[in-house]
Amino acid sequence: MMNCCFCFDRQGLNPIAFVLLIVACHLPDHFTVMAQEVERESKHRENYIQIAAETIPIRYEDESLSRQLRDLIAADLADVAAYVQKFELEELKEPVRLALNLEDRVTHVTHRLRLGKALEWYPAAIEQSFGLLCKKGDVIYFIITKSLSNTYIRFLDDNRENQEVLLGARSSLKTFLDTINRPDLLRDIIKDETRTKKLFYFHGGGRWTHFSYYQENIAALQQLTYRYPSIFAFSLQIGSGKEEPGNTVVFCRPVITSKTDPDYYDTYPPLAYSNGNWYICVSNLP
Amino acid sequence: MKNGKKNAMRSMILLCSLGFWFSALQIALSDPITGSAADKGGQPANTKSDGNATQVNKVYAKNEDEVWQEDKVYRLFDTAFTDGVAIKAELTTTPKPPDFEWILTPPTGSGATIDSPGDLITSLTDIDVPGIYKLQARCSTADEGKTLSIIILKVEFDPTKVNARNLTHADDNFPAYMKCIAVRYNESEKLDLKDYLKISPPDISFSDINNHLFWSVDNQGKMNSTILDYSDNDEAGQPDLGEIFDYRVDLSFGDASNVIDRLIVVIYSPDTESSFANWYADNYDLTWLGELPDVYSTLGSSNTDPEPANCDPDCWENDIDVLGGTNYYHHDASFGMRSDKTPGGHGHQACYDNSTPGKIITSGISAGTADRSHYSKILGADSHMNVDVKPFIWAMQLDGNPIEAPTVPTNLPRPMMHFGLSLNRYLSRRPPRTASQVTAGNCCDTAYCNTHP
Repeated sequence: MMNCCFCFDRQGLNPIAFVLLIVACHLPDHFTVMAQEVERESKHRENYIQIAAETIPIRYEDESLSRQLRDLIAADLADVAAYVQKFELEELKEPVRLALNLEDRVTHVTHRLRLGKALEWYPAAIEQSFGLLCKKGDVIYFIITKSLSNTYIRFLDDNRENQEVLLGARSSLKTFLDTINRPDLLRDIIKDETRTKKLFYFHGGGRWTHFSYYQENIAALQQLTYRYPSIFAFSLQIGSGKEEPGNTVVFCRPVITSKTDPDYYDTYPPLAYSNGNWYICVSNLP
Repeated sequence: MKNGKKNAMRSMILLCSLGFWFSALQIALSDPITGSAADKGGQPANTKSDGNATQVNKVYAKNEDEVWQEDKVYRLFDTAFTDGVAIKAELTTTPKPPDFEWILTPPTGSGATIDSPGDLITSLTDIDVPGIYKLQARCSTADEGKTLSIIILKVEFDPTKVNARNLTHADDNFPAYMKCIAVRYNESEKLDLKDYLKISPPDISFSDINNHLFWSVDNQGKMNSTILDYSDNDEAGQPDLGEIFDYRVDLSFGDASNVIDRLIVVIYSPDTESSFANWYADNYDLTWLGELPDVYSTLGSSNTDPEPANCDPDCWENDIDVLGGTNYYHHDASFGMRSDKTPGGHGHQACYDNSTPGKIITSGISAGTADRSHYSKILGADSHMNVDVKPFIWAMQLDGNPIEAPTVPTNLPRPMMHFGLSLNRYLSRRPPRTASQVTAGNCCDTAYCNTHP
């Protein structure tokens, strides 16, 4: 991932800068172009989404979307599509007319992806709008409806004032996930009480009194995988935990799957980002 | 009039044919909607000449909006009507017939009578039930006078179809809503609210009064129909497991400001229903409860840990959770204690009231409950969240509580309003286990306390 030390105006409510930063921070290295260069690129460079080994060209119903926003949406959807192992096409009984005739005479939504249980991994905000397709002959197009792109725009707009902390959190999440998703690293960490305890953030309650509680959870964690999340999995809150009272904390609710049970998925416990570090969030439950 | 404390009257006037002596008779009722007192001084309407008599065929008032149907006047039931309700009945002809009288026929079960009959104002007493009260004007020269049906109406969300609030809390952000329902998500994404109405008397149909009902959802103004359409609530199709759509429905009569009943509607996921049913079925074996330690009957002085530091084993954790009546999982409990983990991985929670020291709450929604999975188990299918907390949230939703767990579910976003069948079922599987108690300052019986660090 590239370094995300762009300058931007905190008070200036600059959504384009925010989008650029998110895109830049998120995209793989071969996409790491400078923001200015991205601006100059054609809107018509094709986006694709890869779903279960199929590479599908994307068409945007809102053709006025900027290049940057297109890239952001495509990259974010790619993240949540990355774990789909298989899918089926479901033909709609009645094709849904799009607002505009898009490139390649894409005029209707004719099919949708049937993802089964995997769909439950998707954030509610995009669940219904994800996987709409237009099939023309042998070619399938992945349609990003205006409703879906507007959902992204609203999210970015809602979080504009917290872009700095959100960006910092998002950019460092992958490193944290790379740690907690690797059983070999966890087996190493669990031997060290200090390192083990540093993986947990206690929100609304005190720390556990017995080290065995930490160990048992680390043992369970070795069987699980936190999936890299969509941006919709992020939310901000003022921390009320004993550790970080009053601090702005970023919470993230990725999908958690099991390394041994293909039917298991979960979204609890969430992760928490505070003072530049990610943790597994321990809530004071009833 | 006897009922002078009541909202006074507006006019609803009836001219009826009563033969020779009666050329016209006016009956005016209190405003069926507001009960306000202004006499609007109505004029005869829709009259036709028939020889010497004047036939009057329509109940009317000067304010034509108040004329709903001929010969019928509606008024919302009010329990204060038992004290008396004024009916204005005015004979407009002169000379007045000497043997003129009013005859009241109340509905079955009502002992309503005419009080202070007169040719100008009549007061009825003991209007004690919704129903059709027939008021007839008679005199010796007419066999039967015109009859006016005074329909004392009660419209409400049917108590047999919706849940009545049985939980209140100072922090409640919708205290005026006394009823709720939980409705399984349906693919039509529509809910006909009139199906939940009860209209009394039963002789009156919904269509009789439909034009006078106003429906509003989430204060979004008047609805065009009784259909609650929840399709546009959600960009994500149906609610997922543990998710709901919730609405506040206001039912008004006459005008939008006259709210006569309110209802919280919770649309829950079909997955919630099946998951809770499966959980309930799977958790019939309660032998694990035997591992849980005795509870302390009170907290220590100043609401501190009642367990002495030298107890071995130390069954309960030292920290007292200060719930302060604002952790809505336990409704209005003030303090909580948690046990250490038992050998089977279970846990115990005890909740205390706001006494000093806090006294244990042994039953009800505020009591602490047994935990199949100790609270410290946060990861995996057998986590405390999955086996204890989520089923509680499902049960709340199935009972009609408009509550979802937030991202960090340390607390519920609002207090519960109904403790119903599903929450009772939950508590049958995760009961407050408070029969065996130990007093503050003593150690738990080591024969029973087998928690381990």
